[in-house]
Amino acid sequence: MNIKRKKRRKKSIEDWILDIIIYSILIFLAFVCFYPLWYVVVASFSSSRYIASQGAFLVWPEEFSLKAYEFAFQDADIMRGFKNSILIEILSLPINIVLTMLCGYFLASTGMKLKKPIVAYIMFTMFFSGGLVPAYLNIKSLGLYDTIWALVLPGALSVYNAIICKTAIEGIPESLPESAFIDGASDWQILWKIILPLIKPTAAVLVLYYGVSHWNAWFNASIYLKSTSDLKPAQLVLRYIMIKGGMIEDVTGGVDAEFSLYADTIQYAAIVIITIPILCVYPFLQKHFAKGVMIGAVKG
Amino acid sequence: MRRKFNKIISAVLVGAMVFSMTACGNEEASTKNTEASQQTESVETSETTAPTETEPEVHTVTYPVDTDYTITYFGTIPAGFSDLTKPYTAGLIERTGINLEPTIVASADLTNQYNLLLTEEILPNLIVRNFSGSQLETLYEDGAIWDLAPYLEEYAPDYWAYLNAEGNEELLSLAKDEKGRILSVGCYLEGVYDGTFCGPVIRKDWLEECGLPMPVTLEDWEKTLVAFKEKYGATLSLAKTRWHSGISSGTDAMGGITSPSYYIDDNGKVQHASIQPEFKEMLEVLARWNKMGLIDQDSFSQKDKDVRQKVMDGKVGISFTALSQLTNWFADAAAEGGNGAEWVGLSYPRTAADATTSMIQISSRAGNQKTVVTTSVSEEDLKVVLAWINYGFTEEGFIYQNFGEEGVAHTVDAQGNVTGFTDAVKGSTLSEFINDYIGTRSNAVCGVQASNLNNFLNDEKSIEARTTWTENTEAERHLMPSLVIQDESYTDTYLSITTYINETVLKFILGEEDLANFDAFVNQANEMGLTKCIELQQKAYDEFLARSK
Amino acid sequence: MIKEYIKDIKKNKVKYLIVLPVLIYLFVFNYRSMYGIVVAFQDYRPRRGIAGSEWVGFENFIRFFKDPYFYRVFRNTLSISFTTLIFAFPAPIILALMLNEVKDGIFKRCVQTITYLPHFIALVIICGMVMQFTMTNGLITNILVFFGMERQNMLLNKDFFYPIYIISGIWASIGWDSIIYLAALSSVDQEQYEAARVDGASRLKQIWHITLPGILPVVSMKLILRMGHIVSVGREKILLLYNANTQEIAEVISTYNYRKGLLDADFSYSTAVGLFDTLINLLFLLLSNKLAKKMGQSGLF
Repeated sequence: MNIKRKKRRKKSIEDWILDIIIYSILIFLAFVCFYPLWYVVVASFSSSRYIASQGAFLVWPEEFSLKAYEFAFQDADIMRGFKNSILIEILSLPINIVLTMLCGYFLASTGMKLKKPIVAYIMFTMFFSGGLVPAYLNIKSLGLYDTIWALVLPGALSVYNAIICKTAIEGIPESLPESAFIDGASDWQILWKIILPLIKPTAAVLVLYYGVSHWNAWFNASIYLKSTSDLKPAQLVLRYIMIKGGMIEDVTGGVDAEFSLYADTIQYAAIVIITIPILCVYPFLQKHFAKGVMIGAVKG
Repeated sequence: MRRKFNKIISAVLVGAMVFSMTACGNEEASTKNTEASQQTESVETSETTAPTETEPEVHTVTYPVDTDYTITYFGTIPAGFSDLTKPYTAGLIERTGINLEPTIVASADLTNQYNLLLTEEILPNLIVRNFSGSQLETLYEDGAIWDLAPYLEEYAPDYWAYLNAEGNEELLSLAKDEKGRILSVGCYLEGVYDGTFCGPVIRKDWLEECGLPMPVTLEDWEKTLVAFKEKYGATLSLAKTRWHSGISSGTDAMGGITSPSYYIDDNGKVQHASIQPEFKEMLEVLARWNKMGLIDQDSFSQKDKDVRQKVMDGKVGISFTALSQLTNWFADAAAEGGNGAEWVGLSYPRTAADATTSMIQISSRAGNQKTVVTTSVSEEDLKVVLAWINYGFTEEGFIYQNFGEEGVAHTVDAQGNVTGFTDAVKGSTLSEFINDYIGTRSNAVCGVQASNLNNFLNDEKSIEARTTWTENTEAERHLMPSLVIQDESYTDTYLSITTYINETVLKFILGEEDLANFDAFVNQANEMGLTKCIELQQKAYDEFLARSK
Repeated sequence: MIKEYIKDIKKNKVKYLIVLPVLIYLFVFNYRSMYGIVVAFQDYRPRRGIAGSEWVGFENFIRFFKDPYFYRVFRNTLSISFTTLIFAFPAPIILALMLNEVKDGIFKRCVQTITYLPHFIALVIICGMVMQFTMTNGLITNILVFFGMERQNMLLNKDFFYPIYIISGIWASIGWDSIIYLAALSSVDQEQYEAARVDGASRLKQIWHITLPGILPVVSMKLILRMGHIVSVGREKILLLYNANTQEIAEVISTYNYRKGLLDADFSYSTAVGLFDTLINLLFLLLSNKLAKKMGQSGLF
């Protein structure tokens, strides 16, 4: 007992130094990383002139105004875009997770004679694609053009994410699925009853990856929907606002565009409105990364 | 330098006379070189034979056209088309009597949307975009669009008359391709300098405080800049995108900085600005100013909004900027807590007090946006579609496109002349007004933008600035029209050359490269293919001149 | 032979059934349009379709290789990519390790959430800030001038381009990229730490001997995947940050072709360039996969 206590005290000095270093780096990092969002939020509450005169360093909203938000909330496109984005998430995520788990499980399993060609078949799509026009014609021939499914199905499986899933499955001690197999469980049961709970942190990451990528996606919507469509997701609406406001420089019209349709502050308000919801998802998923999940699962 | 310049000036004057005569297509233009006159003759013969075949009848289109035809339309502009109930769009449909079914896409999505559109079996009747010459050629080869040349005179008589009007020869030859076909319809500027929206500005209040006169020559500029730096710590500061119309334009350097460009010299030959000795002289000046700390280092990377910030901070004495920016500056200076700066337009710097300005920021009267009529229109229906296109060139259509509905969007005096916009212009942002009530060149298709439009849309002080920029200049004469180069490797070659020029020029200015190496720089550019590029441009230019006869 | 496969299929029936939806999905949404690759060897015109367009062999590739700046942009692409890899790849791992050492739950969660925020701010805005901070009178310039740097516009200086590019990249993505490592860390068996503590191992030693090996499979997987797009340097950020003076070292394949105005308009050329990128990427991926396997990691396949 005595010896142990001595060791612990010695350790704690080292701990102390390590903690100081770690905490100060993390605090610095948090401060620096918080700034961009803070800037956008402050800008959205300020007047255009104030943003222009302060440049990149806004600390507090001055000439406080809610005008930008009034405008943004009145914009029917933004609100409709919101609804569409949420609908896309609801439709997509279950498909994403099922396909990714299936793919990841297959990539992680061994002993199949046909594994190599199938893996090659899967991986090939990670590198090669037919390009814009054939993809567009494909969507049209499938009858998905100008439907919500055109925004859900292409990209429903990311091989990249399946590989992440595969790595997580490989991290599970082999004894677990094996013993389940001996107990008479099928592959199907092993996948959903044993493996999925065990890779819960990774599954949470995948939900986050897919969720965020759907939320941020605008390209498919810009080509698979008619320009008059009511299905435009929020991010596409935001993009149009930013183009019209001159924040995203328009390649064709370029820098000489004489008038911008939206004031700076409205663009920032739109960014805030469209970004905040997805930011709020993280803290909810975060708890799944908490320690002990593995041990609990193993013991239970 | 001054003596040399005077020589240039006299040459310029002779050149100006020659050019103006050729440009007007005047019969007395006997000073033309033989080559050009030969080509002219051949074109003229074909013209004179034309009336003998058909009776010389005067074609007119009466509006509204009696038809139930609906034109399908694809483009990024006018934004107002995305809502057919907007005053301008609804009025246009009513006045022309022709229904519209437009697809308006965001400009940033245009390229993709357009390429996907081409896979459709049936194209929209009209497609509007900034077509390049080779794109038009491809479309025609693929049987997708009409050659309008045979139909314009009869179905779009006002457009045809406009193209053939005196002073519009350049527009006619830009409308035609090298085979005499007319594959697209353009949108034009009424006046030569209507496309000028950018130029030098100076703080007049400081100038007065320092007791200095308005700078004219490069030496004056230097003196002023030094005074501003000493007294206020201010510099010459501009956004990186403004260099292209920037300081080098004013001298004989023809605007070679950061936007290497061709121009027409005094002998009517195509030249490239960046390899001229005058350009080297300009670079020497800029390198010196840079060394003296008179140029803001950020000028090579900053954006307009950064300049605006510095202007508010009182760190800018002279700048190059656009009218829309200038409007912001005026507002900032006048606002509460503003610095009360008085910005006024300044002439481009000259090599001598009595010299003229060789080049300013100027854009061609023929706009980039072109309308094509696709083969989804039957030959029969061409009549209706061209009547729609023709509308903007009629007297009524011209007023309507520029100023909207009388009483609703614009006001008139007793003689019926447009005097300005109604209060509708104050009710919303400027661009909303433009989208909803009128069509400007950047917001309309097939028509002519009135010179007055800018005067009505911008405030007086900015218009004054613009007048200063366009006074006493010969830019029009030197402006190289943008022509189709029939050479596959041209684009690639020229891009690598401009890449090289841009990099090296900046090194010269920043002093990283000695200007003694200017000749080596010219040689390198020529070796990379610049000589060939100039030749190709010259060839295209000769053909262009021939077409306008 | 065939019998063996039938036997195998029967034996692994469920596994094959499990992957079947994936194969069908990939066929419908990826392979059905895969024929588009051939336009790299055509003078493709959308109006004519692939069947009607002219075949030009390797002309599009030759055009790309023949460009006087081809070597330069290719070299820049690789050097930007590898420098980023060296400096930016370890950053999220280090962040995850540091967060793992923090015992205070609320502090940890706050830092985690905050560092992930910049990922959601548009690149234009991030780059706009970078430009402002590095102007002659910018915040970062001021700080560095205090430490003895000559006052200048940092983006105009070639020496600063890579550091600015990489550090701003880390700034914008460190938190987001660390998530996968945090997830992996949470799967590390806590009992091992207990045992190590009993043995009196220091925390640094624990990190080295338990934590790191615990996430090594994920690190190796991420690294291999990263090698799989080594020549794909995005154009947007470079376009926003570079200028004529830094072009020499900053121009990459994507920005150069973008400036040519061809990538959007000329499908054949852009497909050819894309195919070239893909082949180089694939080469790097296969090499690193092999290397990983040699080093005892499982690799991607």
